[in-house]
Amino acid sequence: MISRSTWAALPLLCVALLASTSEQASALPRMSLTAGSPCATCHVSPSGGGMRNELGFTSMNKVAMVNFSDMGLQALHDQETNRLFNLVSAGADVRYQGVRLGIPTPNESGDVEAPDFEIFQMQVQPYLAVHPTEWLTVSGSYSFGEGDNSCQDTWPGTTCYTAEAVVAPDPSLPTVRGGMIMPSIGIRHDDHTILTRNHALRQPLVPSNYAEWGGEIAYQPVSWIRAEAGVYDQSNLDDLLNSTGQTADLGDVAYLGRVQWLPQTRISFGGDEGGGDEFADDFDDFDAEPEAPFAMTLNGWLGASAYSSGDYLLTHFFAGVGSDIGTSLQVEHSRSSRKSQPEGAPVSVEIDTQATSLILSHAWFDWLVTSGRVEMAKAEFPGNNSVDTTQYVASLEWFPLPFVEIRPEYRLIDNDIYRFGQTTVQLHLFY
Amino acid sequence: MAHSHKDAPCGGGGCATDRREALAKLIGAAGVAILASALPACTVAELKDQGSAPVGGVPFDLADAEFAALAEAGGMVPVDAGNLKILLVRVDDTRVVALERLCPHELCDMSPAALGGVGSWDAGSMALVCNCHVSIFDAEGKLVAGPSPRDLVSYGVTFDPASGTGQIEVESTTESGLASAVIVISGVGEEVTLDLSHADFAPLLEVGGVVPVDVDGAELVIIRRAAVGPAAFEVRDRRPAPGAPEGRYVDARLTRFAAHDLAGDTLTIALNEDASAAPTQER
Repeated sequence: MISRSTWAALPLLCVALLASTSEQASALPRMSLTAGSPCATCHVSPSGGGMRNELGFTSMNKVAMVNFSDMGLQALHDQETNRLFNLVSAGADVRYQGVRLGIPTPNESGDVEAPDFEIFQMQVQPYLAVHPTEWLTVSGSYSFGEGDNSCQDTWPGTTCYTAEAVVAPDPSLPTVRGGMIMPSIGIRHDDHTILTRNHALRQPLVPSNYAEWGGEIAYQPVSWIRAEAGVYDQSNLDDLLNSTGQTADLGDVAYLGRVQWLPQTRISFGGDEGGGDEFADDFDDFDAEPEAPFAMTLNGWLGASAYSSGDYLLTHFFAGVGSDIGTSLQVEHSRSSRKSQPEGAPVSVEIDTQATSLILSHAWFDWLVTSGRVEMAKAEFPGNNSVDTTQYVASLEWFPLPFVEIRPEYRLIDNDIYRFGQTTVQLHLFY
Repeated sequence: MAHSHKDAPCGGGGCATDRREALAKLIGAAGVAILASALPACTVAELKDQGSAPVGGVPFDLADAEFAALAEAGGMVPVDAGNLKILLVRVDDTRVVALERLCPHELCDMSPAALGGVGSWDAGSMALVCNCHVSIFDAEGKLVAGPSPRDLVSYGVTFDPASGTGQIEVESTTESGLASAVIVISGVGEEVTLDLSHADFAPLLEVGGVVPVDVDGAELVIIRRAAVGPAAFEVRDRRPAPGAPEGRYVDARLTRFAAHDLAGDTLTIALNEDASAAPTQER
C-alpha cells in the first residue's frame, strides 16, 4: 500500500523526472526519495528518464507556479492523457544552457579570466512511443546536435538514438526491455557532470546518452526490493574507453547487476495515527489532513550496481533518505578500474577512479526546489600521478509555467590546476 | 512545505488558500529574481600556482644520492622543475638525456618502478618504454611505437661524465624535440605549426595549460583541457564578436571535436571559420 502523502507527492516525482530526462539529464533521484516511487511510475522506460507515460504527463501538466488552471485554460489543465487513439504518445525535451564553457585562462596582460558566457543547445530530443497492448510499449528517441550536426555525439560512446521495447505483463512479474538502451548503472542523475559519472579530469565514465544494444530484466516482487540484470553489446563502451588508445581490455559483452533495498515507513508525533509500516489507504481523500499533528512518510534506498566487461569494472554504491515533506539526502560513491595489457607489454596497467557525491534537496513548493551537492573525485594513473577535484553545486529548480523549467545554478570546481566558480542557467522545455 | 496539487474551487476557505498560494508564489518569484541577479557577481576564476620552470636550467650532480642512479647506464631519475615533470636517463657512458616524464597517452608516470612509476629503459634498443600501454620512445623522445599521440618533449642537457655534473636546459630543446612535438592549426587557407617543446607552449604539456596564440590576425587561445580524448585541446577565439552582446564570442567548441585527429605526432585542430575573418555570432 502507498500512503496518501506519497500519492500527493507523486506529481513532484514526475516533474522532477521530466526535468531530468535528457541527453544531459535523466531521472532526478531526489524525487524518487520524497515520493517513494520508482522512476517507472512516470516514465515509459523502467529505468526512468525519457518518454513520459500517462501518469507522468498528467502530473507534470499541473505543476507550475502559474498553471493552466490559473491561466483559465481548464481544459488543458484537466487533460488526462498524452496518448493519441490510446496507441501513440509523443514527447520531447529541449534544453538550452547559458554557461562559461572551459576553464580560467590568462589574458594577454597575464590576468586570469573566466571563459566567456555563452548559450548553447544542450538537448533537442523528441520521443515517440507506441502502445499496441497494455503490456507492450515500443519507444524511441533521437538527440539532434547543434547547427549542422545531425547528432549530439559530444563524447565517444554517445549514441544519437535509443530504441527499446518494454514488456511488462503484470506488476508481479519481471519487466523485460531490449533494444538500444541505457544500462541501469548506479543512480541516474539529473546532471551529467556529476562526478560519480566522471573522473577527476572531468572526462565521462558514463557519458550522457550512453546506450548499448542489449537486454535487461527488472524484478520488484515486493515494494522494498528491486533488482536488475542485463547483458549488452560493448561497442560504445569500447569507443569511450579505447578510442584514443587501448586503456581497457573488454570482453565480448558487458554485464550489469543492480540491487536496491527500498524501505519505507510512516512516522507521526502527537496523535493516534500510528507509525511503523502502516499506510493510509484512502487514496481518494488524499487532500484530507492527517490526524496526527505531524506525520510523514520516510523513504529510503540502499543499493549497489556493477557494470563490467573484461577488465573494466564500474561500481556504484548509493544510499538515500527522503520524506514526503519534500526533503531528501542522498550519497553515492563510484569506483572504476580499467586494465589493459597491449600486445608486447610486460605488465598490465590499471587506471582507478573514485568519486563521492552528497546531495541535499528540499522542495519548498512543487514548482520551486533547492538543491546543494558536494563532490570529491580522484583519478589515479599508473606511477605517482593522480588528480583530485572537488565540486560544489547549488541549484534552484523553478517551474514558472507548465512544461517550462528554469534552473539557475552556482558551480564551483576546485582542483590542482584551477578554481572556477560560475553561475549557469538552464532553460528546459518539455512535453 | 510541499505541495498539495489539488485544484480546489474558490469557495468557503478556498479563497484564503488561494491568497496564501498567490503570496507564496509572489515571494518565490521574487526570491528567484533576487538570486538570479545576485549570483553572476560570484564568478571566481583562479589558476593555481603551478610554479614555473627555473630560468637557466636545473643542475644535477651524481655525487648527490638523489641522482646516484645516473651513475650507471640505464639509470633513471625523476626531476620536477617548476611545472615541468622531467625524467633524466643515463643512456650510455657519456650521455644523459632529459625527457618529458608523463606519457602523453594516459599521463602515466615513467619514473622507474622502484619509485612507483611504470617506465623502464631498454638498453638493447636504447628506448624508454612506458609500460602502461607500451609506448616506446627513443633516447631523443621520438615515438617509436605505441599509442602515445606524440613524441616526448626532449630537453637539452649538458653533462660532464668526468665530474658527474650537469644541467637540464629547460628553455632549450634538442633538435629532435623541436621537430616532433607540434600542433598544427588548420585554418582556411593557412596552416600554422606550433612547437610544444618551445617554452612559449610548454604549458600545454599539462592539463589546464593555456597559451594565447595569434594566427594571421586571429586572436586565439589554446587550452589543454584533458590528458587524452577528443576534448584534450580546445581552441577559442579571444575576440568578442563585433556588435554582439557582451560575452558572445565565436563558437569555438566545434574546434574541440576536430581534436579527434589527434594522432601520430601532430594535433590537427580545424577552425570553424576562416581564421582571419572577423568573429561572428554562431548561435
